[in-house]
Amino acid sequence: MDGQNPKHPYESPLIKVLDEEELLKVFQMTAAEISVASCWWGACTAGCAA
Amino acid sequence: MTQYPTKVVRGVTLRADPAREPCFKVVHNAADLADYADMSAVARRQRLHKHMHNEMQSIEMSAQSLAEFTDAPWDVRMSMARQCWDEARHTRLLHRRLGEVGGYKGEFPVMNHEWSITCMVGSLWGRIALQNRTFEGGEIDLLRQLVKMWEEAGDPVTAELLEGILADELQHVRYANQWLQRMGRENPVVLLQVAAAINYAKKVLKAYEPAPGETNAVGVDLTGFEHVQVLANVADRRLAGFTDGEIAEIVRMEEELRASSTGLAVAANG
Repeated sequence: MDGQNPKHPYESPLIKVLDEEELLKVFQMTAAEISVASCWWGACTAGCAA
Repeated sequence: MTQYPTKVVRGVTLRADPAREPCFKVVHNAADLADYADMSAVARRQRLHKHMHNEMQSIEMSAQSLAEFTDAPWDVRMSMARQCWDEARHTRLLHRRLGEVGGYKGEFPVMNHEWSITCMVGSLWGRIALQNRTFEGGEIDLLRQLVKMWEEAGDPVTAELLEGILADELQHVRYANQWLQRMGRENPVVLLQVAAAINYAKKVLKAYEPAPGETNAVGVDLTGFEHVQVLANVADRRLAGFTDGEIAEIVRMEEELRASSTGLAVAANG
């Protein structure tokens, strides 16, 4: 409790409300994330060369 | 989500495969595919064959959604029906091109990867978020790169074909983005459905991630490819209705992946 206001012993939580644009922004996936499962759509060019 | 026929692969439950003609050998793991890493004659046929089969799946996913979500708004049903038409045309074009370079239907094993993930989702908006906004959104990034790759390989015919497909895919992604933005504003449950679908796909893709050194049926190292080479096609994503904020987020995610991948490579190389 040292150094804290005894009336406010803890920090108030911040509440963030996501609107539809923010939520859609968060729930996205990159081509790299999709591709990693099965070298998607034969994307391998240089890197995969065995 | 369990009213559909399902299968379990690598510990995750997926929608069971759609029907296939006997000429196709259906596999369930990338390790059983015969995907090549170069642009040799056989690799070109395999790439066209894989793309043809992916377009087939796209028809089936849209058609399945039309059949299973009959109370969806008429306009979105029309868009899905038009998408079936586009994907059928893409399949035929790729099949024709495959024949022109000496290949044939069923020449390589196929995997119903996107179908199995997308059609496991129990809401129309979740499916559209996956099929159109995520998989086809990623395809926008990939196709621009593939057009260049086929041009550089001396095949302008296939490059032009892919350019035409890209133009159609932009519209599929655009209608999905427009509907998801609109429905998300009108009904927050839609946003939860989108979030649930994306989380499910991430879980499946994680389970499918190959182990270090895992190879496929033709000996290609499945972990040898730097996936972050496929970068956001910003101009076309904008045309496809992604907002500036969404594009900035995709670019940020890629930068983060690239940084972590570079860090791993540096660590691995000592």
